[in-house]
Amino acid sequence: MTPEEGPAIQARQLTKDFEPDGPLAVDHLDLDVHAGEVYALLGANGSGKSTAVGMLATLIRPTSGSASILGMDVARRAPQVRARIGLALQEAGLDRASTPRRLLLLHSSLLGASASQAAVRTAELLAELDVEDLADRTIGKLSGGNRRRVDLALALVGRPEVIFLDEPTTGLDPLSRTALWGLVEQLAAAGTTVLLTTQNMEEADRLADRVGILAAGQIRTQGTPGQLKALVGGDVLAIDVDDGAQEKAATVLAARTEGDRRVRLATPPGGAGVPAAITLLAAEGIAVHGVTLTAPTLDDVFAAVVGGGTADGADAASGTGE
Amino acid sequence: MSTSAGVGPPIEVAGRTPVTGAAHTWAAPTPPARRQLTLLFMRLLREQARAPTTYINLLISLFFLAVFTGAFGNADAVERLTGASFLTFILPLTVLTASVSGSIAGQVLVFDLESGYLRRLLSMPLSRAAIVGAAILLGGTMVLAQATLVLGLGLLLGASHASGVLGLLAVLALALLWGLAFAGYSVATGLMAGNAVGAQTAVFVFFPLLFLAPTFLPRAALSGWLRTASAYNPTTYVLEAMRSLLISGWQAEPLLAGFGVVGALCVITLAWATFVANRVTSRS
Repeated sequence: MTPEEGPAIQARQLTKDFEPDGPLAVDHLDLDVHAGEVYALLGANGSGKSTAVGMLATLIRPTSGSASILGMDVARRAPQVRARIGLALQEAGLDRASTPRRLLLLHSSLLGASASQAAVRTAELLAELDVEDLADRTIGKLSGGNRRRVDLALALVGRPEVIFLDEPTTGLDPLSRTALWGLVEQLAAAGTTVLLTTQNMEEADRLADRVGILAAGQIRTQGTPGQLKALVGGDVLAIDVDDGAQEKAATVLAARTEGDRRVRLATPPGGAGVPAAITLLAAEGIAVHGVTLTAPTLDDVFAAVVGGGTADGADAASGTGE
Repeated sequence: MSTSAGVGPPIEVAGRTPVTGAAHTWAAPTPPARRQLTLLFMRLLREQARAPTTYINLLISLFFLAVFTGAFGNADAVERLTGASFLTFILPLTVLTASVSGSIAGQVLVFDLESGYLRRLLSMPLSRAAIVGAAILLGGTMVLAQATLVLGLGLLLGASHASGVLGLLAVLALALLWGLAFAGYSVATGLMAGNAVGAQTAVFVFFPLLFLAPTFLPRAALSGWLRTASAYNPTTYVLEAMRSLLISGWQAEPLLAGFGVVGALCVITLAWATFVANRVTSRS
C-alpha cells in the first residue's frame, strides 16, 4: 500500500501540552479522515479544535503522538505537507496593507506559478470567491466577511488536496455564511478533503460527512450526523414554561435550557415520556405553556455527549478563546 | 458564486483534481529560496515605498543635519581640533541617524505577526530564512537609500570627502552594517515582544548611545565620565571611522576599529535575530 492509499488525515495519540501543570490542550487524539471526506470537529471554545488543526497543519509542534497528511508525517516532512494543504484559520491571516489581487499574485508566484499562470489563477479565485469588485482595494479597509473570503482564496491558490478551515463562518453574516457553505460543498464535490472546525451545529450538519465532538482535547464521539443523532435514542421534547421557571424545570427534568423559557430533553420515541414530564413539572408547580416533540439535532447530541448546554452555550459560559 | 469564465483557458496538469473552476494551473515546484526571498522582499519594498513613515525618518535625519549645522556651525572649536568644517564633522551623525531605519526589519515582521500574515506564510512551503531575510534585506535597502540621500545632501552643502569616491562607499558600507545591526536587534526584540513597541526599542537604544559618544566634539575634547563612557560605546568607533574617511583620508586605525566594532555588532544582533526567529517559527 502506498502512503496515499491510507487516510488523507491521520492522527495517533496526538497530544499538545502548552503548560506542564495545566490541562492538555489536545489529549491523545486519534483521527482518520478519508480522502474526499468533509469532517467537522465540533466543540466549544477551549476544546482543542484550533490546536488540533495547528498541529495537523504543521504550525504547532505536537508534544507527543504523530500525525500524517496524505501519508506524510507532519513533523518529519513538514515542507512537503505544506505544499499540499490549504489553511484558513479563525482569524484571517492577511497583509492588510496589500490588496486581494496583489496578495493572490504573490502567493501564486511563491507556489511556483509563472507570471501569466499567476494572473490566470488570481482571476479565477477573485471570480470564484466573488471578490472581483474588491480586488484592488486595501485589505485593511474590507469588511470582516470579505477579508474571510480573501483569506480562503489564499488558502486555495495552490489547489490543495487537503484543506483546513478553522471556524470558517464565525462572525459572518447569514448571506456570507451561506456563500461560504456553497464553496465548501464545491470543494467537497471536487474531491478535496476538508477538515473544518465549528461551533455551529447547523454548519456541521449541512457540510460534514462525519462529525467528531471534541471536549477537553478529546474526541468524545464521532460518526455521520445521522449516527450521532441516533445516539440521543429517541425524540427530543421541548417544553415552554413560565418566565423565571426555566432553571427549576431544567433541574427537575435533568434537561437543558434553550432561549428564555424553553427546556429540551431526550425522550423515548413516539412521545411516551411526555405525560411523565408534565406530571413532574406540575408537581413542582411549574406551568407548561407548550410541548413540542422533534427529531434530535446535533445540538441535542452535543448536549448529551458533552453535558450541559450547546457548543454555543458552553462558549458563552467559558468565555475563553483558543 | 460566479464562475471563472473569461479568464483564459486553464493549463491542464495531469494527476491533480481541480478544486474549483478550471483545472490546475501549474505544476512547478515551489521556487528556490532565493526566488522566494526576492518575491517577499519586493512585497515589503512596495509597501514601504507607499508608507508615509518611510519618509519621516529621512526628514528627521535632514532635520538633524540642518539643526546641528545651524546651531553649531559657527563654533570654531571643531575646526581648530579637526581641521574640518562642522558640517563635515557632523555629517556622519546624520548618516547614522538615517541608518536606524534598519529597524524597519523588525517592525514589518511584527506587523505580519500581529496581523496573522506571518502565520499564513509559515503555513506555506517557504524557507524560514527567506521570510526573515526579506525583512532584513528591506532594512538594509532602507539604510542604503536614506544614508546615500543624507550623505549626498551633505556633500552638496559643502562637506569634504578626503578619501574620494571609494571613501564615500566605505562610509555607506559602515552605515549599512550599522543599520543591519539595528535590523537584527529590532527583529529579535520585536519577535520576542510580539508587538511593534518591541521592534521600536531599537530607536530608543540608539539615542542614548548617540549622546554618550563624541557626537558634537572629537573624543580628545571630551573629559570626565563622558570620555570614559564614549570609550565603551560602539557608536564612537563608527563615527570616528566615518569622520576619518571624510576628514583625513584613508587611516588604518580608525577604519579597523570602526569596521571591527560594527561588524561584531552585526554578527551578534543578526545571530540573536536568527535564534529568536527560529524559536518563533519553529512551531513550538
